[in-house]
Amino acid sequence: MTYFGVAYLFMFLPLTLIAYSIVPQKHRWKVLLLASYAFFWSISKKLIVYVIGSTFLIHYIGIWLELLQNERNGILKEAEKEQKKKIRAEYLKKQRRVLTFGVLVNIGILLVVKYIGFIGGNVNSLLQTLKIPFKLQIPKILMPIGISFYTLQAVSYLVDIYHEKIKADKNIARLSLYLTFFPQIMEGPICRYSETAMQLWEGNKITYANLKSGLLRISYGMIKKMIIADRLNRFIGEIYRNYAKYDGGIMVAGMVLYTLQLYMDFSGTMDMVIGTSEIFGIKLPENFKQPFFSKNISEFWTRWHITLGAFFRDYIFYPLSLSEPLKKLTTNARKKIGKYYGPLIASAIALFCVWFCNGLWHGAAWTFIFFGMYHFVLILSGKIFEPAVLWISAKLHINREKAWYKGLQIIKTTLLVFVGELFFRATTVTSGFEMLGKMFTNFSLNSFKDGTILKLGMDVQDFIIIAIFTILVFVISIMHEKDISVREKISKKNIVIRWTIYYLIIFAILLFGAYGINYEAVQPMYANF
Amino acid sequence: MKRTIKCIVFVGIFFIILALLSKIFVPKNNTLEAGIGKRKQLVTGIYTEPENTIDVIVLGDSESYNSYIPLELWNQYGFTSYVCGTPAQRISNSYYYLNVAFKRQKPKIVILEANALYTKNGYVRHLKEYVDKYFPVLEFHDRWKNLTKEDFYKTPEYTEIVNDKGYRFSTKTNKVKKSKRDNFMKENEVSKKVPSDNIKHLKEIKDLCKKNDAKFMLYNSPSPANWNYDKHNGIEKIAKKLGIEYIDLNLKVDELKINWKKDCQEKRGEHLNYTGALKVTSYLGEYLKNNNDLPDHREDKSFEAWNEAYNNFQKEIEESKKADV
Repeated sequence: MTYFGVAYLFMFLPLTLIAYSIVPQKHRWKVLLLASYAFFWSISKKLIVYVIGSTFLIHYIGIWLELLQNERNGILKEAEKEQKKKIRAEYLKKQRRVLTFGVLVNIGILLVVKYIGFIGGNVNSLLQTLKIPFKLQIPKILMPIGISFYTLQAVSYLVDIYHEKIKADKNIARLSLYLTFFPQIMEGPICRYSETAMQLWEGNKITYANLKSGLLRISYGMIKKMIIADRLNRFIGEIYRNYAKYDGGIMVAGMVLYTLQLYMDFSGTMDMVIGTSEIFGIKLPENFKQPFFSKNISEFWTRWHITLGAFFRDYIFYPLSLSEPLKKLTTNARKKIGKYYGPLIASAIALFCVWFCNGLWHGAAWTFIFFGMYHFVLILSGKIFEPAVLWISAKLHINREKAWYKGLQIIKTTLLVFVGELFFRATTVTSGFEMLGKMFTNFSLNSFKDGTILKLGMDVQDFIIIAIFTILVFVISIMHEKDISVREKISKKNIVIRWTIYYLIIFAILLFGAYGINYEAVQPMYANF
Repeated sequence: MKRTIKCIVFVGIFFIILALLSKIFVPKNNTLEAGIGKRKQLVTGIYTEPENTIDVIVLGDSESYNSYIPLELWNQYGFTSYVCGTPAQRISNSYYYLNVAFKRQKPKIVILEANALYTKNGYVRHLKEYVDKYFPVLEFHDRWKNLTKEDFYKTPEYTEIVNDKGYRFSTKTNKVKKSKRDNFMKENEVSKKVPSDNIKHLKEIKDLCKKNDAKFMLYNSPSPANWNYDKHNGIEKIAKKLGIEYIDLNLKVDELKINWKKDCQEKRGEHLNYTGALKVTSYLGEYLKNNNDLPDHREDKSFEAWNEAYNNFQKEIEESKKADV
């Protein structure tokens, strides 16, 4: 079952909605939890034990952390002033041990399930290169759906309790729902306990306004995913599989259109996820905010897969930057190389860790690690050269607030993103470089002139449809960037215009969607990460 | 109340538009030019074959149209067959197509590829069948690319005779994994139960054949991915109980000389390719000829079209060989 399949859209979701509406409010969470477990089971079957195991683990670790905090508070009340610091430190140590245990077990499971093949494969290659006649037997472990997403949610829950931002939840059912809520289990957004747990539990009524608004958001997601992303699938697959056969012009097309496919696929799925939750009266955090209007790579990552970036920022970047060794490093470096570059060294170390994890999180392959490192280098060099750029701009009297300058920044950022995504999709890092190389050494427009481009799985009509709907998404993105709510605008029109728009959307999806026997069904792309 | 009425009107208009679009998008003939699609076209020939010219009707899922070659049997034995198999055909569909066939044909033998007997008819599948039947625009939605003026006013009428008589020619070859093919028919006593709904439809098919004076039998094409001894036992049990003849070619892979490196389309061994199908067809042909009174029309002038079809089929094979080189 996937979010864009018939079984989900016409059976699972409507039945869940009906069951949710007819049961009394206090039991609605049960419907959501049951539906979530059923959804998980339909995809991963017995592997559901992983998520159940994680739920139990974080439930008890959370309670343990809170017990330690309560115990400490009790002792602090009675304690003398001079003893308080010591008690605090002692309990912090205890809590840290418990937290480390909880996080390591959770992350450990993810590491084993997701990376054992990759690590074992690399070890075997190394042994072979060194001519050591020994080969590791790599067990094949099946990966439960959404493990990369719910593990991060589990970790954030424990860390937030440790930092006393939230209280441990004594209700394991609520915690379980927080981890497995079916619309978000496959691809996120990666939510914090404080954002969603209570909302999921409340069992808000399904209102007519929410239903309409949620369905509109879902249909926007379907346009992105089914009309644009899935239509591109065959074309992109052919280019990345057989890139050696084609010239640099095709490589450029493959690079640009893959980025388009990934964006439409992932953000379209997010529209589906957030729209579905909206129907239940649940507000999930946004995961995209018009990323292609970013002026630099740092900004891009605050607009693309926002919740992942925020997770790494809050749970890796800040804790590392504020750790004692890095704080010391900053103090020393500040004295030696100044106020700007001094703190940058510690930031660079933390940033390196963030991007290494980010790359690896996407999958067990060198292409993903390269993808992470590529962004690390771009962001770090952006910071290193910032004073120089500001100085040059001032010398040349360039007004950085002018539209043309911003436009150039957006184009530069987009080009850098294209290259990153090329490596993200490439089968190996080497093939990524070969593809990139072809754009410079073997560039030609011949494939466009002689019709080769139309023999890779898409015809002229396909290109036209993709162009039309990409323009539509672009226009809507501009409106969103200007804080105009398109859905609100539609809802204010009279019934004839409103209904015409609804029918146009529905029939555009039904007629131009890439589904049925002429297309391969494409799983949401981030579900594999 | 007002809102409920509005919803009903909205949904009503939706279905009206869907029905209107269906009229436009449904292919107006069973030709590839009319947009019927290669796979869908296979079965449509049963509507266009001249009346009372087919001797054997074959039913079933993809196992049927990937293993039984009517034109090869024509060439070797002179009797005519048509494969009314469709992808993932449910036994209820088999019954439907048999009814279609009996309307214009008087076959002497009806054969069902028994893999379909283990396929359950799920809700989603039911829904899909219903939708495909009443709103074909969804199945043929891609036809927006080549709609013609005629699509807006013509009603569908099938006229094309399908050359390969329902067989799906494929030279795709993959070596079947050792783990899949080794011991896939290891003898045991376990018998996999055939769903009761399917048994009901099987009986209906049997009765329909009896009513139309056709012999009914079952066969299984070799398929390590889809078959095992438990299923064999299950079908054998039902066949015995209902008095239906049954040959399981999975038990005869050595006799047939099936080469798992060359005769299958997929690594898992789901379907035979042309060379594999040829072996199954030759075996079935001999079996059918020896055990039944089947006519030989090869010298009959009114069956000249079959010779032409056979020649076209040979050309298709030659062309695919050239393409492979």
